[in-house]
Amino acid sequence: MALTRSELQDAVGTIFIVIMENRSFDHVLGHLSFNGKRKDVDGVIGPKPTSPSYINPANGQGYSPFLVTQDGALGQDLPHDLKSVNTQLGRNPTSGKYAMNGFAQAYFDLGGSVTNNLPPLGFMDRSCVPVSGWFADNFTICDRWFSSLPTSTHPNKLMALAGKSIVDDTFTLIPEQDTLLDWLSARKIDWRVYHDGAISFFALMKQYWGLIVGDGFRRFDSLQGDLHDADSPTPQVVIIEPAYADAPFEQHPNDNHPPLPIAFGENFLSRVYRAISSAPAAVSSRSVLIVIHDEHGGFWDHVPPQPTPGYTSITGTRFETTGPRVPAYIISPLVSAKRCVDDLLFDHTSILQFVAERFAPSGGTYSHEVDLRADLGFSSVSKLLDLSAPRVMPPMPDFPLTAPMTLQQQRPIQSTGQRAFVQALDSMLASSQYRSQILTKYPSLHAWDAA
Amino acid sequence: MNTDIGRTLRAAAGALIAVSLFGCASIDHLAVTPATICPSENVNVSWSASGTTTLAQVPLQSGQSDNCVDSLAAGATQDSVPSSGTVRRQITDNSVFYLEAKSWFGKPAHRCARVFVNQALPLSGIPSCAGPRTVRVVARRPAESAWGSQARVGTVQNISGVTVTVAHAGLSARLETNASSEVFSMADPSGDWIIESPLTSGPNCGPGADVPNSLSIQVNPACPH
Repeated sequence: MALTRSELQDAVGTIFIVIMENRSFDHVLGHLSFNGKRKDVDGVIGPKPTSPSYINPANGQGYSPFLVTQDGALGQDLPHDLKSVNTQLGRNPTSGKYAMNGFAQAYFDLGGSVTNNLPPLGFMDRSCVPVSGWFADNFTICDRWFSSLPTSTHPNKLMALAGKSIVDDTFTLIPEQDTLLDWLSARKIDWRVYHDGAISFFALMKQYWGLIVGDGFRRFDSLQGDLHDADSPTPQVVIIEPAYADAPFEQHPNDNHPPLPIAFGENFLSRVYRAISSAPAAVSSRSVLIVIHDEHGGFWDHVPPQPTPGYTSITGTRFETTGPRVPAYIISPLVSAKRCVDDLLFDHTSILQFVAERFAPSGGTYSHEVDLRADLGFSSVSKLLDLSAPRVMPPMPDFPLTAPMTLQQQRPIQSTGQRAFVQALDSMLASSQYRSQILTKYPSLHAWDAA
Repeated sequence: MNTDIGRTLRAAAGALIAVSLFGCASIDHLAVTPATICPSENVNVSWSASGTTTLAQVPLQSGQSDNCVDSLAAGATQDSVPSSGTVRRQITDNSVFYLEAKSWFGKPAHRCARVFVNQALPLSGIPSCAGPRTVRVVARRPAESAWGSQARVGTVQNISGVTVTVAHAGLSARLETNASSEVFSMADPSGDWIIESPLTSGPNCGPGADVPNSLSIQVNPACPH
């Protein structure tokens, strides 16, 4: 039953949003159903992941998914640009149906090595993703949450943060468009961005440089203290960002973007959870933490994308489907434990529907563009809340997280995503308006500046 | 004249040393052929790189992608080798050859190549229409998965989710799901493998037809004892 606006206002104080990078649902959570463990989850079916429908043909050979029992760095990033995603979805030229079996071919098309266990077809054993597994055991996950568009990072991040995207693929700096920050500011709703890395994703949008050097953007390390600060009310919407692997000046990236091992992202998510769950009850008991991945990052998922007939982006591009499924966790005292929701569709704009339901002053929706997504069948996150039996957020156990990785010199700048971060930071440092402020606020950037 | 030649040679040698010491390390190629062998068969490992070069042979780890990882496992022995060359090795277990090239500057370059012993080969393709009620895949053993000279076809198993008819080397067999056949026993695995399947329901082959995602068989090698 849909919650009323007043019920939401009473129950929900702060919406926390975390957007990780580049992992598919099956890659992170497919293990939940493997070997018959959770029959309510549409993950990988075992005992061996060799179902005929899972086979990815490429160059005459068939490749099957495999269980990854040891976390580690991949040899290289996986293809996940607009063209590669189209290949990965495996639209059969005869039937027109999506077979989700082009992941091996896309990998080879970008120069991947020929071997038996292909990196894009690996799915994690529970031992590699203990934090994600614990979230799935103790809160609500959605196994029909799709990345909004069948393309790469920037468009999907913008769909989550704005409900529309001015770009169809990841290029360099993002042209000006309004986002959730503008929507909230216009309605005098408090917000804050915490970022674990040197700079925020919003730095890719020049329009926000003035805000980034201000008090609304803070280092993640200060979140826990801020939540305990009685003199500073917790904002109503908080965006928490990991440190981005695409940013070559990051010392310790943890956004789950390949080729990173996943342990760093798992550790980051545990820190996010501990900060919120240990906040004063007035905050934690009314918190809803939404954790999603922006897109699948080139990793295999077995569920075809959701059709979005007639959907045209603001660039004029027609997107006939969503992208593949991604892991999505709703972590709150207001959701059921160990629940997997499979009878409702979600995409990244489900977050914005929820924000508007809770915070739009006069009962309005978020935007016309988000309404279009709702018309396509994508539900609000509010549909996942259960206010009948609020509970205390359980303490998270300590998980052993290890990630074998070689210390190496600065990562080479190769992808458009990397170039975007470099261009953003270099431009800010070259700007007489922002240079001293950004270096004062984020002293770690002196090293990059000097180099 | 001789002095000029000497100067030229010394300059060339100096340049070579400078490139070796101060240039960026790189790897042009690393290949293991054949990539799939019978036990104790020999393989040729060939490489070409620039920089100080080492070659290691380590067992293929299970439970992790067998693609190149970004580092060699601790404790593995790396042999110094010339910057290019070929060696012949006898292989008994699935192995990874790991080539690394280093220079004084820049990131080390590395590349891996694997060899599998007695490894079955799944052949697969996305089907297209071969008639109103039939779909077909023509699969060929990929060059990168080439078997050694000793291997012949053993059994062939249908790993599609539907019944298929398999044709190869003038032989054919109809195989239910998961069924195996010895019809192709001792055939040369080279050449086309034609896999066909009937459409048992729905519209004729074309838009909206119930076409399988892929048609796949597994060709198991027969190695001499």
